[in-house]
Amino acid sequence: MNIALIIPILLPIVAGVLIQPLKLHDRKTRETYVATVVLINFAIVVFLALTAGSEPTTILRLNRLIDITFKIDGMSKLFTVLASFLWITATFYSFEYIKHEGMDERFYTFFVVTIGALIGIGYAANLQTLYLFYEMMTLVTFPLVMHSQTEQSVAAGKKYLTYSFLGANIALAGFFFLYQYCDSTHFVEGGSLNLEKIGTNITLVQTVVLLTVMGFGCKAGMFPLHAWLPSGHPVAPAPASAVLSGVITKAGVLAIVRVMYYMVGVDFLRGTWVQYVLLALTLYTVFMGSMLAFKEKLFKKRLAYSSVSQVSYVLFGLMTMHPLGFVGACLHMIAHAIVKNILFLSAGSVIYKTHKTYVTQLKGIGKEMPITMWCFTIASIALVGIPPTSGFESKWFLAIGALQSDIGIFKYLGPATLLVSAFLTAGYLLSIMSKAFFPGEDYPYDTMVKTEANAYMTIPMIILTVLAVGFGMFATPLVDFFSQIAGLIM
Amino acid sequence: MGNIILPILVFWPICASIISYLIGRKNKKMRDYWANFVTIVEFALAVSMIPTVIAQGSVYFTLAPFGHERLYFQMDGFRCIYGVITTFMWMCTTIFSREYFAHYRNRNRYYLFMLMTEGATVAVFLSGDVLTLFTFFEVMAFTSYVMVIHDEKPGAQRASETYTYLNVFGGLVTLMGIFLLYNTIGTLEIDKIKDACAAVPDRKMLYWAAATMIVGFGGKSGMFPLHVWLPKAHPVAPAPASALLSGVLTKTGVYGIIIISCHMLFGDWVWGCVLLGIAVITMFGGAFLALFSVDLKRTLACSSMSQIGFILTAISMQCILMADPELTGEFHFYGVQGAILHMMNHSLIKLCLFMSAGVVYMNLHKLNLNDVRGFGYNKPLLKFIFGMGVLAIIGMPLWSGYISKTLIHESIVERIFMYHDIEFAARVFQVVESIFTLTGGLTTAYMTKIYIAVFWEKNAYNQEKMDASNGKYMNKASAFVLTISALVLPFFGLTFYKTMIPISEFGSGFMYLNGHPHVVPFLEWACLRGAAASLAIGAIIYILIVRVLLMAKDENGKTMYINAWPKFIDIEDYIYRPLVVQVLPFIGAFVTRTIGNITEVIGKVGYKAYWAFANFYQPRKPNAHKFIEKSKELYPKLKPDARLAIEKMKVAYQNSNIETWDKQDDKRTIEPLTRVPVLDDFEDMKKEGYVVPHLGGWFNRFANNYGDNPEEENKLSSMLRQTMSYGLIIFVVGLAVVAAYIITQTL
Repeated sequence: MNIALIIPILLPIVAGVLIQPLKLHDRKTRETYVATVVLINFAIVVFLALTAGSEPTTILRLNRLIDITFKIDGMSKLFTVLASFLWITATFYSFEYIKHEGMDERFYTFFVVTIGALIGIGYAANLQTLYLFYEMMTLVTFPLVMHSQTEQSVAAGKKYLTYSFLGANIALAGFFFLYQYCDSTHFVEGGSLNLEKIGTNITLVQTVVLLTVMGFGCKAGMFPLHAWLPSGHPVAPAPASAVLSGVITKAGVLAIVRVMYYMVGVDFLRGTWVQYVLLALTLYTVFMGSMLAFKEKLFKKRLAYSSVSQVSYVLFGLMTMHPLGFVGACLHMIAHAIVKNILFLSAGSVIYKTHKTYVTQLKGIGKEMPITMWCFTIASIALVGIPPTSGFESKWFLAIGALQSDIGIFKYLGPATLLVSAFLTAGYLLSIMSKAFFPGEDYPYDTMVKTEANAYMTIPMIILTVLAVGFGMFATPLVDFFSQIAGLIM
Repeated sequence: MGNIILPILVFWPICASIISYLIGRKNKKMRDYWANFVTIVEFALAVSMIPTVIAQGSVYFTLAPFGHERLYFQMDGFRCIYGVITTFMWMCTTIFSREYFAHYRNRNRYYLFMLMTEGATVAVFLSGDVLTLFTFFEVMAFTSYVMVIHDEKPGAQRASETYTYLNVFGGLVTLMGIFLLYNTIGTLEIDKIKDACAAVPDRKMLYWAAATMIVGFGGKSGMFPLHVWLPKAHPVAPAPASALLSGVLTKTGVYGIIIISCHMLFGDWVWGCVLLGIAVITMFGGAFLALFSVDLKRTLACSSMSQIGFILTAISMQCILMADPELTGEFHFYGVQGAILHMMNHSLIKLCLFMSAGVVYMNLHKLNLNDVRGFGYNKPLLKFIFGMGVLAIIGMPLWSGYISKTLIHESIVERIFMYHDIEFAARVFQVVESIFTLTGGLTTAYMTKIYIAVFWEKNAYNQEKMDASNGKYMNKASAFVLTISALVLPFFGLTFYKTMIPISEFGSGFMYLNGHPHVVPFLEWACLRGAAASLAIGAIIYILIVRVLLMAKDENGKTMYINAWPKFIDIEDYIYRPLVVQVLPFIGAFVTRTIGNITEVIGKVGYKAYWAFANFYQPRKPNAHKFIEKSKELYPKLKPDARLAIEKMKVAYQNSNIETWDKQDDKRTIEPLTRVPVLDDFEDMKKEGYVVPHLGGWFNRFANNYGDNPEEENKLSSMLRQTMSYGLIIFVVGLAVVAAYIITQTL
């Protein structure tokens, strides 16, 4: 029993809700307040990750089926520390950016509440708790998506809500089935599926698992429920799209990990048709995302398509059901979260400073905004997976994991698809870089105005860029940590 | 850990590059001196390693943890040779750069990336495992991109685009090969690869690994059919950069190919034959392209491709010579020594030639042979320097190129002798030998062509302009490094028994030299014959083809060089680019978009179905006309203060529309609402059986608060309403399932 676990969940929720009643109309006060909340929250999360034991803490018990229980394990640590850290950078960035959007108080309210919901997802010890915070996250990020209130963003918000509810409900329905056959509703390493209870219903359970994963896959942008992502992410304000793409999609991934590795157990799935279907879906998504990003001309939409593809790298790693693939998936979760934050933040800076939204308009932008575009370039290289950046380390483990697992043709098809996608990634990101930094000899250097964004925007990007490269150079501790988790659940 | 000099060799230029950038922001001159200092120190460090390596055989350094494992550097004979050559070339070009770049923009950027590339390139040659190799290979690819595009002219931009995509593509395919290799043998340490691969029973996986790995390395080295970037990128890059690209960066690719051919597939007959085929095409194709070129640097670039073909021939021949079971690889040394020496020679020759071409460009800003013709007519020093390069590259005896070409030639000849009783195999190798000799002839012809054009002939139109810069066409520092780079070539060629042969033996451990090399009688007719044949063929080609077919009289009756190469024979423009830029993305995007939209369509249909369903149960709505008439009738009956309130509301709702649906006619009408009904009216109308339109409510207020355009507001509010209701319906369905489930469980 560790009641401290609810502090990082409740603190942001309460603090966020209080923004309106406290009438923090003064910009400085409001920013100090928000910054304090996210920083304290991060400190608590880190503290808990380092000290808290793994015993479950039940906060509320509705009936014998539904209880709200929290617990910290390896995946919780990964997810919560990552999310709350990225929240800090996005928050500081938004102090400047939100001037451009207006309606600050409403934005901060939902922005701060969201991190509470995310931590709730991270700490959830059973599927009911997870589902509660999962739906909460959907509802509180919905206003972020349609913050600008243009027709487009409202339509995107509508789509977001519809798809999210649909996905979550499929997943919830799946839980009702799974509950029948599991020994425990709580997440147990390696799963608690009871083969005796299943008896002859194996195909039913397999189908249910497939549907549950596909349902949660909606948040992670997995085909076939991916369509909300390319319309939802680009319309949100840049800091919100950064965390939507970087962190919220990972909530879907975490939910899939919980279902596959903590409820069902991969031994039940390994080698079945479910695994092959999921592998095919993820690989298709990887290819589709990159391909459409390659063809997309709208800057932020291109990045959103890229997220579709990259998050499915993570899912592919999970679907290999091999310890190394799992390690690769976790590494890529971190790598993509950081990199996609940088990319969206730098896209946001460009839009904020120059109002250019199409990639074709970005000629010479690297001369005008060197720091922003340097961060963008390094992040692009990391996303393509060029050593020694973090993207390479994750790709290494994903590919080796796939090659060493026993998944038939996907053994070779998987790594090959990842590399094709990486090539396309280079095509859609590096072309921006080359136009930005090498505008041609006829570029008007004399009339050029330096429009670099200010420190609120650049410092978060620089910190993230250092991390994006640093995690690649010094990946050993992370690899050890994830191998440990993989050892427990497989 | 290990020998600390190795990481210093790698990280000193990388760290110094950042310092150079910072200095350059304050003082350009200091930056240039700093860059010179950095490269000289680097060269000194590399040279200082020679005694250590001779004494210890091989030195190591491990930097751990790095990545998920470590960085592992190793220096043995071969790597030591290439470390020294790389740093030497960087030193020469950097010193030359100061003058060459004097009037360039963005020089700071160039120096930053040039020094970074040096660190990465040295690291590639010092790598002790394939992962370290790959890491720095990719770093080098990206930093050298900036060197290629530096001019930012359209040609440079296009060429660098090709360069970078080939790099990324090659890098990724190579990575696939590395995955396969690692998955097959479980280690990537270069020293262990040979034994681990020899122990693999199933060769199929190794062939796959080799075939994929060679894409990246071959692409970098300019191997056919991935050579397309080379003739385009080298001419447009600044001359010091082209010297490095051509002299050193292509060799990093060759280094990778050596690892494949001498470590992974040591003495593999099949691999040797496949590689030989590619090598011969590369060798001949490059020379053929060079013959037709009328651009000074393009000729040199094509020549690089051709020379890489020579090196690859040597590498493949050592595979083939080793594979022969009867002779136990007695003549293996020909291939090994030929490869090492030709790599070294080619680097040094191209250094000299590209820097000389740089001097031409620096003065004239032109490269077309007709424009630069006669530039060197009255410049004896440059004439001498370029001449040394030409004599070395065509394999003139007593210059360095002769030794390595002879070794490669002998390797093929030995193979013909070994197979003298197998008719077909001997024939094949005889063909290879004749192509080899013919390519040597082509080399002679195209080098003679540019040498005569630039240095022997007078310019047809403006020789005064060409002579205007006599005596001041380069400064002392540049002249010094150019002369050094030129003198090295005859020096090695004259003292080959004391210099080149020991060097090749020093480096041969890396290629697992089998047994002891024989003493080759380089200065006897048996060896000289090959060179003589090449030179003779070259002379004939020059006289018969270049002077006759590739020159024509222009309108003023002057003889000019003409570009006789048909434009449509360009696999980059007519195959690769359309395929990669248009065809494949179109197909890919079409297929994925179609499949990806399936859910969208299902979603939309579902949404429509929901509304159709909802409308089915909607009660009758009033006819708009009737509604408005009724309102008008009611209006005068209202109390004065109520009227005032309505007037105020009118302003707010002025442009609001009212949508009505006449069920009998199944017609929707949208009309502006001219007056605002108030609650009393509605009450009346409700009594009369009308369904009253709903205007107030939470959503309308929400929309009104956050917008100023009433039309937008109305749209927004209706969209919001629809969204919420659709979302909520799904949500409620979910909750209902939960409720039902809880009930069944608790009962």
